[in-house]
Amino acid sequence: VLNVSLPSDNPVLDARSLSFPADGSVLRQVNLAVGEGETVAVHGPAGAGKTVLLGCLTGRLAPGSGSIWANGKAFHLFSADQRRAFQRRSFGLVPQQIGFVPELTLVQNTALPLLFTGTPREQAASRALVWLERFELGEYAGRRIGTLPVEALRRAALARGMVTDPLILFADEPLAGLAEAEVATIARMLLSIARSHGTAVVCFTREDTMAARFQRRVDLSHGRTPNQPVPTAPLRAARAPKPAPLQPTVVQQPAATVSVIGTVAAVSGASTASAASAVPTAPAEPLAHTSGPWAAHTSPSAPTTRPPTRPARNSGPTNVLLKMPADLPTAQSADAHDVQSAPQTPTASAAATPTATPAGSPPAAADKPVARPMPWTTPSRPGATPTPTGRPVARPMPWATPSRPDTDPAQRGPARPPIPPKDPRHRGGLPLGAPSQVDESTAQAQL
Amino acid sequence: MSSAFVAPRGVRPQQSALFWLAIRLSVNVRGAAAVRLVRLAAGTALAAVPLMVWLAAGLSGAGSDGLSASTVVDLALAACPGVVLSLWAARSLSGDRAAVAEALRQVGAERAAAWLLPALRISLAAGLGALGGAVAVAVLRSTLFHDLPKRAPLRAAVAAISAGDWVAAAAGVTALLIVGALFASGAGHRLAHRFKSRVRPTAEAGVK
Repeated sequence: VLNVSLPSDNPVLDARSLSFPADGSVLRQVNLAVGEGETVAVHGPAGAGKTVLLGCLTGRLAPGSGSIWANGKAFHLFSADQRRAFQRRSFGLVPQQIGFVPELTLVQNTALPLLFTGTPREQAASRALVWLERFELGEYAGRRIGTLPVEALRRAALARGMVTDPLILFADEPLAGLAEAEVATIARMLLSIARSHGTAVVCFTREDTMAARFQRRVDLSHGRTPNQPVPTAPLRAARAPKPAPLQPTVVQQPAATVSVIGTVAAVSGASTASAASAVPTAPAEPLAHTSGPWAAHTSPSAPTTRPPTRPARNSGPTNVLLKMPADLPTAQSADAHDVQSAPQTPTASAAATPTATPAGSPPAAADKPVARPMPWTTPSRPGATPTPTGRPVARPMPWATPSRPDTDPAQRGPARPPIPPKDPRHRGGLPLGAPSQVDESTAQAQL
Repeated sequence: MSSAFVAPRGVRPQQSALFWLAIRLSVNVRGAAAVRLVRLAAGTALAAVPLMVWLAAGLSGAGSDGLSASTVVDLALAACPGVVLSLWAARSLSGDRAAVAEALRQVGAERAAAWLLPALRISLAAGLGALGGAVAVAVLRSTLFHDLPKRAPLRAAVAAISAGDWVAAAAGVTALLIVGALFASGAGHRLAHRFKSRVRPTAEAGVK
């Protein structure tokens, strides 16, 4: 089963071309968009710039260049007071170094964000108690902070971050130092609560296992998202003497889960292009993106147009479940970049089976490890080479993962069986068999 | 352009919440922090006694012929235990103060409020101790005057100090010890940093 999660049209957070400081020595041209209710992990090693990015997104640090749109508003243009007021109302923060007031009880500490938004004390305490019970901390509510175990403090920090019912919860290494079992429990608790409240979660972490729990993962390395060139000048020599090899942008979801936001596909395993192409119609202007040469917004200048305002609080992501055959042809990770860079097709059904070929016809270019031509592939994209059919084919990028055995001509076995043509009746667009052999009821049952 | 968002009414922290927090953080202190605060109050009380005599004598003009250099040194030495105890206690409170300030900042407090609330209890403890020492000197000054040897240089100085000088000296000593405790606890460093950044605005460029 393929789980395609689509964010709403309007991201609640859209950071474009963020650099910090102005020379970009810490962050350079970083783009990040988060849809409403989406859970995103910003993953990177220590010193990659995660905490600086968090500071820029939450308004604690002023980026040297770039823009930040929060809930359709130009957050980067706010004054300090406006930013703080917006932050109190719309952002929840779980910092890496959690601070509690030791003189106060747990429920009083949890109620503090509400007090600073002007909520009366009794009402704030009752709401804080509700949130503590959601995180299974009701028994500790009346106890002082110093008497609580670390695991309870971590949960309490999450409850404190969620108590204002924020649009976005920013968490910086929220569960660092906990045992894996506790991490699994608390992360599941957090994500389910955030999902039920429509709160987007942006988690900054260095742990792969933690990042894999989120719908989408954005890798950050040396202040850049992948696909960005690492400067050879001694710009970052002091911070990063040994630049790590770049990794493909997003990904690693458990078991064939694909998360797509705007023009960015989060891909795992096989069938990247097919799965991403099955996404329903996206807005004409890509609103979410990662950085890179194909990103929609990589201009260092601030955008002149404003993203549309988020219409409703609970217009959450759309989940589409698709059935995927086990023997589905695979695509290289370079295809994922094609999907990321390519504009979405106007209709989902038209892009239903991008990998399909007419039944009985031989597979195209079966002896070459090239990606299958996508109907929306941009012909003028650098790196694309013409095929006998005239369609450009993506060339594997240097940072792409090595060829899989089934795409490597040296290791490939006999030619694959022909793929049946696409059937527009199938919404997922996955090849379920030739139209003459599969009736509609069977296809619907598989869906 | 910045008018894209106007902070609605009621978003700013309520004054009652700040007042409650100030009382809660200043009075209802337990554990190790309470011990450190008591230590700070005792130190400032000990330091206030000689400092107040010196300041009152200086204010009354008795220092011109009544306070010799050796008397000033004696008063300074007498203040040393109290000053050392105060500095030690205030220094040990710096961690608590910074932790509370950081916690308040994390939950959305204004920077000024986050600085003021934890600094308030340090000021309160130091001020109460200094006031206690000053009041003790003011109340017991006649006893002090009679107990001093007749040829002691301090006897003439104490005799020349008026009631108003005692009050002014008490206020001055209290303020001096509060400021000293704040700087020792690290709270004053922020003020100095802000002053520096205003003098040199480029020092904090890029960081709000």
